Amino acid sequence: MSVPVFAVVGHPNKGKSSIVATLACDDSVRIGPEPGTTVECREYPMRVDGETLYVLTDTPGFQRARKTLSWMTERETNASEHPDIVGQFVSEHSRSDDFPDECRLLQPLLDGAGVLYVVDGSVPYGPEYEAEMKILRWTGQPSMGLINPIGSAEFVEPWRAALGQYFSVVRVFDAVHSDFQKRLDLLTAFGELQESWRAPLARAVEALKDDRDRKAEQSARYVAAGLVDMLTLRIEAPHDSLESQSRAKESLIRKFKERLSRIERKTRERVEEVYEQRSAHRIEADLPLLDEDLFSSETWKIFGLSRIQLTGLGAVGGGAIGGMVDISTGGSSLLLGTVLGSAAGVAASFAAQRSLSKVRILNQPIAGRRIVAEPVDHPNFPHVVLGRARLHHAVVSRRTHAQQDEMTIDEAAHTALPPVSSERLRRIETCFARIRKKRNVGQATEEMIETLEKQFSEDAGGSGFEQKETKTTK
Amino acid sequence: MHVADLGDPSLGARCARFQRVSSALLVIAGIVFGWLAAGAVLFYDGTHPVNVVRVLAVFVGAQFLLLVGLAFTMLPPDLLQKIPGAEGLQDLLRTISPGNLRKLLFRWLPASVRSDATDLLARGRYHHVIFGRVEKWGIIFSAQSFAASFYAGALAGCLYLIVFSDLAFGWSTTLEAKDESIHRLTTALSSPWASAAPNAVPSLQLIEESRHFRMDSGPAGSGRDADANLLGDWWPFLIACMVLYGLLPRLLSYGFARWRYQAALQHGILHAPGVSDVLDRLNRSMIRTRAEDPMDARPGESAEESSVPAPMLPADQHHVFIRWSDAGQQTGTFSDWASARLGVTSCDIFAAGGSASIQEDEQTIDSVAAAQEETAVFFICNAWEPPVAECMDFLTSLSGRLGNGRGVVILPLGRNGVEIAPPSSDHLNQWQHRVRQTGDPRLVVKRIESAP
Repeated sequence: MSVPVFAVVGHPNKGKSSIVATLACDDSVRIGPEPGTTVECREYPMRVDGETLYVLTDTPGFQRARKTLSWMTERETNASEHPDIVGQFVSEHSRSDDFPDECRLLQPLLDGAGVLYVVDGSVPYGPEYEAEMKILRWTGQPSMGLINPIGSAEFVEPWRAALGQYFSVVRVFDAVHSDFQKRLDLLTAFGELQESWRAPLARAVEALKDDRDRKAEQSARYVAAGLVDMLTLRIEAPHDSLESQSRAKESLIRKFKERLSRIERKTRERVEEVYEQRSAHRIEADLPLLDEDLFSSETWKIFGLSRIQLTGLGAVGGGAIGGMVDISTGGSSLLLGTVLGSAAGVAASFAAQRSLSKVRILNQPIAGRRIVAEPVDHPNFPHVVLGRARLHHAVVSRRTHAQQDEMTIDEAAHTALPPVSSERLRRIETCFARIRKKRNVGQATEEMIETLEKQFSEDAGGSGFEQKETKTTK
Repeated sequence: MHVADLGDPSLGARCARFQRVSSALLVIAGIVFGWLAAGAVLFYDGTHPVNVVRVLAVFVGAQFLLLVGLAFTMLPPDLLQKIPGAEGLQDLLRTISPGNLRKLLFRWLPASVRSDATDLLARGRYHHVIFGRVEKWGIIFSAQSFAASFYAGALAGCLYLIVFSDLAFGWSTTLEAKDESIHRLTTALSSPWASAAPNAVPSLQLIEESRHFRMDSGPAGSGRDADANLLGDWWPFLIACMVLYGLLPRLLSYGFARWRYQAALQHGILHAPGVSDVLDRLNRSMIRTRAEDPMDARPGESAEESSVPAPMLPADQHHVFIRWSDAGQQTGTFSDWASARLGVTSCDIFAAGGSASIQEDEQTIDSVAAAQEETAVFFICNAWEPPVAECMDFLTSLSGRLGNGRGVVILPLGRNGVEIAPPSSDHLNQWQHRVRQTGDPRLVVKRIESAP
């Protein structure tokens, strides 16, 4: 059985390459405002373990559609001969310079590719498109009209009416802002164009869903590993007794901050790599919010938990210990342990200062006097790190590969994220506590990965950003 | 490739070397300490017999307590979390474990091995996920190596003293203890080997005879005119106790710790950086949607900024407008718009492109070319639609027909809702860029200005 091939065709500069970039998750696709950015057909095969399930073909836009149609119409006898006439056109002009783009874009259709005709729903319908649509109809291939609203959806309805006359299926697909589910829906719709294409496209959709889950899991793994590294970071340096203690501490704290920032950067790069966002270095430079210093008060305010939330978590920890006291006394303490434990937890949460690190001077048997910096104590610290990582993941995972502009993240993007449930927050806090105490870090990390994976899956497929986009459009 | 060809050994190989060296040192230390302990416990200067109670307390009683501590140290974390204070106690036990003696041995290690050890410990601290369990079982394993070699040393020391000196054993305790009670205890202790080695089971007579009191006198320090030969009969029992309750449990705990240590190392590998990716790759399908090769970097060419002034059209001149693909259709009547916005009083309007046929385009060119020479020709197009080859063909053909003396002003129209508006600079640039590519100086792109 031949592999389904879909040729993305249309007028120049109407978002064909954007659609290809999004569906193929390929940010190397050249997308430009200047017409004729795509000059050659380019194939994007979707492969699962080496088996090709479908192929997307990006094509150059029509340049001389009316002349092409005119040539064909002159040779028309009856409708059954239309595909042959298209074939004649290509074979006759493939060696001349008269219709290079038409020949290139029609060739895949003659080879059996389905037609995905792309128009821009943000600009008015024009009569020049009719010649293109007629030519495509002449090919006799299964076809779909795709309205890609570049910027706004102002003219979607007139386009729908026009395309409906030439294509049996018309869909609106925002290549730049579509979420993952919409991409899958579109691929499923491709499969409906021809009976034999349904099965491979259904398999492709399932494979992509699995792949999406894997990406969320892998990102959760990287973020968890980064968190563990940060929470258990320890930096040592030999301490010369002649050296000023405050200067040594200052230098070590600086190194400590650098190491934390490096871990965070590395985690981001890994997450971007997971989602095949190759322009990671550019994104890194253009993340004003995430580039805020990890220890700035702004970052702390945006990503940290509120005092009330922290109090809740502190109470949980203290209350649990108090509860154990109650159990051990057989309840004779009248739950006093739980009450006092909660109070102690609350007090601890409030009393904790935003200290960067614990710096101590040790006399070690191996290397003598050493100065040691260890993880920060503030209960908000891991939540700040996780909040930043979560926002970064959400932005990267939702970013389509057609978005080749600068990534802008602001406080609104953060507030668009769904809130973490208190149950999950509690589970994460328990993991943090165990990692900090270095108690069975492996298991705590696995549990954290499991919780983060679910959260990341929701963040990646969430509708927060989409709603924001719709509002802007309106 | 042979390992020897690789040059400097890797950190892993160097750490393994450190492990071997430190383990050997621990074993040697265990044997030495065991031998010294045996010498101390079985010390006999002829004044007082060797106290069997002390021997049992050191080599059986203490062993029992240490094994309880060991079992506690080995408890899994899940179980520990359910016992209040258990985690702290386990930490304490781990801290005082003889396995930590390895760190003290650093002082006497060669500089290169010390450096490896520092690397190993630093990595252990940094990668807790990988090494947390390995560290725990590494300490327990080292402690068991030390303990097993301690008992082997103690046993060897005891045998040496028994063979090469004449020891007299007795038993003594300040506590209230009847001979029958001690007999029951020794019988219970020796029950595992009673049938196989009956002479290693102390008899009631031996116990009665070898009881020693502080106030007793005599060359052997024995109590009740004991038979000197009988006082030496304790040794088979003591050796059997040391083997069965000292060495054997330690060998078993050594084997168990070694097994768990290996398991922790294998488990640790699963958490090593990159391993999850490899496993993930093995277990899941590999999905690829990209093109085989990434596209080359985009061309560096960029369009120039446009600074074309608004067309100032002389009111008394006749104008020709060619509307490409119904451009300007959003306004009511194009001529009204041209009159209001451009100050045009007299004009002809032609259609080309769009729904017009190629023949109609040619007719338009013929008509425009036939107009008076002083007529200004304007080509109106939608700025947001890119200048396709068909449009450029038309412009080139038109320009050619008009001849050198007459130019064509291209006016790309933008839109603001349904109103005609100046084009965006991006759109204007794309038209300017494309027109410039034709190399025809008679084609000029101009920008309409905003309505006053």
